[in-house]
Amino acid sequence: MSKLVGTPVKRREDARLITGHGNFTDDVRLPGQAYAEILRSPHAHARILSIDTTAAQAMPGVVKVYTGQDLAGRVGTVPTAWIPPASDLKQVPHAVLAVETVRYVGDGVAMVVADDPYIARDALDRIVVEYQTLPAVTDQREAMAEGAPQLHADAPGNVALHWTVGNDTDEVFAQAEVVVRQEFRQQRLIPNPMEPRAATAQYLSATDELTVWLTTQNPHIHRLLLSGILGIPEHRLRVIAVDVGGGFGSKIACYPDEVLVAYAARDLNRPVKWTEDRREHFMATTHGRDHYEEVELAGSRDGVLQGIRVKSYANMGAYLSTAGPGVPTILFGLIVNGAYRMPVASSEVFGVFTNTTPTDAYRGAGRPEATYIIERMVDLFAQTIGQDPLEVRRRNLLRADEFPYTNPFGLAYDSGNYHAALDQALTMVDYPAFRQEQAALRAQGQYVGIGFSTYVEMCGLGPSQVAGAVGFQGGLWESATVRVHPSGKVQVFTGASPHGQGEETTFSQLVADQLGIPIDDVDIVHGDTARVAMGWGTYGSRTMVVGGAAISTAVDRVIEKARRIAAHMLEVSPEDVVFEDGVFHPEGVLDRQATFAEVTIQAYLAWNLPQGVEPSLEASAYYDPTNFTYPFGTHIAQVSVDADTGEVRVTKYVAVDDCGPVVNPMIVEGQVHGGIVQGIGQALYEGAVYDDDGQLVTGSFMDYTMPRARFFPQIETAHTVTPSPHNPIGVKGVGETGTIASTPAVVNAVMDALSGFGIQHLDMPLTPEKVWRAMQQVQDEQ
Amino acid sequence: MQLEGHKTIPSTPDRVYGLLTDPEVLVRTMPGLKRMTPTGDGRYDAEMEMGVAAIRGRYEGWMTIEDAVLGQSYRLRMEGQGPGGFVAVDMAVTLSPTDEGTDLRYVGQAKVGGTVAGVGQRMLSGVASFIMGQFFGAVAKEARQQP
Repeated sequence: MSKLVGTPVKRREDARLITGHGNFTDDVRLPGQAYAEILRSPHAHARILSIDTTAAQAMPGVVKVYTGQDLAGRVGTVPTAWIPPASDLKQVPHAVLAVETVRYVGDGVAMVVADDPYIARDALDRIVVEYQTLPAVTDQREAMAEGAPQLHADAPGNVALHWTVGNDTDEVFAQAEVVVRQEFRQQRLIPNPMEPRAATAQYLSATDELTVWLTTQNPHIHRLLLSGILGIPEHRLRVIAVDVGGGFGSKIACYPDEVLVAYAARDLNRPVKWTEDRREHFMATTHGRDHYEEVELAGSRDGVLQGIRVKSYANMGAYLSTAGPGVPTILFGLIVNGAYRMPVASSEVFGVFTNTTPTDAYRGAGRPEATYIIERMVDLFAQTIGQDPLEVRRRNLLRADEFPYTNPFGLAYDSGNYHAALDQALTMVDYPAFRQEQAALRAQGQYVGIGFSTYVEMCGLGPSQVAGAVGFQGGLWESATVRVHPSGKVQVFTGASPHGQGEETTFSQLVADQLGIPIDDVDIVHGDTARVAMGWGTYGSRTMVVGGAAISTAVDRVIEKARRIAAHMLEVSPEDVVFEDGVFHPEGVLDRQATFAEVTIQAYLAWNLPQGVEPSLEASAYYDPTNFTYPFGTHIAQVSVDADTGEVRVTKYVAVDDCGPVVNPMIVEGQVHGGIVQGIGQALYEGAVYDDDGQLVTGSFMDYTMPRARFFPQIETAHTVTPSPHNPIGVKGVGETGTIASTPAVVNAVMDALSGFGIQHLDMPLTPEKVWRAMQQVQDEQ
Repeated sequence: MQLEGHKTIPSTPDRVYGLLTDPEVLVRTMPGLKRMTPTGDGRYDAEMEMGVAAIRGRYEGWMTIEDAVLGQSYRLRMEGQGPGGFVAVDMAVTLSPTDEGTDLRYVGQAKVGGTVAGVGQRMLSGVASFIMGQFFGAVAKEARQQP
């Protein structure tokens, strides 16, 4: 039988998704369903003097209006689920509706439930809220300054956390021949999955059970958090997320909104649905990035890197989101040395409260920021010592014989072959020819540039022991149950919660190959806490790595049991039975065999099972990895900069990634393409902007530049294959590599194009206006 | 958002002042202003209909005329809440006699918040100047009609 793993099997989920048969949260329609709308603060910082809901409540069709006062004491506050150790994290209360003070534009103030969504929406306009506005602060460094507006009484100076990590760098920096210093701004980004958030809740009084359909990347984490906030025991709570239209990290968090909907459904004993609109999404769904980083890189004059020091100021927003505190600390600070050999490194991070939308994971989550600064610093270092950035990389990238390598923060990079990926990428561009052409064009007043990003990342989150050590308030293992039905059809229950990544296909490929059965005999069940006992969800490029390994382990257990039954049927001992292409037979004897289906039916009939073997054929596995996985690669971007307009065009893009063995090359290519354009979005186009009063002025697609297909050349991809040494299927995550690698590749290329102008660095996004002004300024000065 | 400009009105400063502080004239001349009800002390309850980009609706709030110096200057403050958020205006108006009548100068700040601030922010100052232009144009027309 031909193997499916490694082949571009078409996505099984797409037929239903692209023909309108998906089952998204907003598709759920329940008898008697009511609709919720949330009134959001138009002020960034204000005291609520009064809320008059009388007129709204009196509107025909309005069922009930809730305010923060109504819920105080009935609903708990929304906690953060990541408490980095020794960070003095200020766990300030986050009420589901603001009670006395609103702290960002979008903070919930009241909720209307009505018979009809339009009535609910109109009723919002009838609620009269009297505010006393307070001074607002949106910039994290300004928020830390003396005299800045204070957001929370329990967080003096607006400092939410202060975390340091690394070894002693003083001596190395004191003695270094070269120290390069640069400050970077990682602008705030607004994740925009195709499907906004939504929640539908139903309470069944007969069984006292509450069911919440939800746009979530991690239904079991949501169940755990909702249980605590609402005071409903977990066994009476069910969270369902069948189809979720993308998340990119923005659907990890537990938001006040789903708590409100769940509460109202029980309070009213009536199903309640809430669906976010896009304008609401811009202000009320978590944002990403938003750091200032002060970076120092030490090295020798001949090009050996010796150490890095990073001081970062991360904007947490007005409250701590679910994974918010872990993103700018653990997921960033531990890997700022990148793929380079460095004896010393340190990170110091301030997390700061401001009057802005809370921040949380956004594709890559911390690792794009880390990769951006080290890849930019390597280029600046090369420039300082007058070497080619490619040569500095060759010199300092870890060599294959240096693995396992423990970085200065204690991360064990267990495997890698960075030079192989770099060499492969260099076969896809003609570097010397590009440099010649660049010089020739420059003489004609045309500017082109080339940029490298030789990255490594840590992903495939767990292990759980590490989760505990870094303050993540959950486990990071994954569950799988493989249930073989009497007819030989297989259902796989996974605790991972794919929401666009295509694991219904890739997981099926694994299982079909392992069992030697057609892929159509396998179904993947996910996203329902009543069908899957426990799991930790999909984020951190962990689903194939941890979820896939759990499934593979469970399938092995099914095969072992089936082998004992087959041996009994074939009247040989289990050790002598081979399982190949779906058939059991004694080693070397092909004419006596039992197919997988024949064994399965015997397992269920149980008329004649071997001694000590129980009926049925089903196995579970709870897989906890022993390390992260460390995908790596080389991305090379070529750009041209229009000297008259400052517009940057990406003219060629090459990505060589190593995610271990590729289960489905088409799906991996899709992940890589999507990641790359998202990363280039940060480099060139995107950026959330608040005005001085804390108003989000980029609150729609008219004002916030989403990348479009026409902005990009055909992306050229290739792979090297270095299997993870600890993962049972050898895989490493690939969901975030594109976003992690592409941002610095493109910015390095633009800076290379502008090198003739003596421009060392420009902060992102590199919009035409910014680039044009920078070139203009240099020309004016000359 | 900064509001600043001037307009020549063909009438004396005293008459112009009278027009600009007459609720009936304001309801006629100010685009979108539907109602002004005096509540005393130069304060009015006001209702306006406005649309910016996709955000349209009725704003309810108040308007005051403060620091009034008859025929010379006053300070106009307005605040309204509506479906897209809020609008707040704080503007100083001065009147000075010229050969063609009165030179009306205004300078101040307008703030918008909530959804309306996040949509088409870059168009807002253009929209505001346009509305101010329409308003003072209409006042000038009133002045011509009641010489």
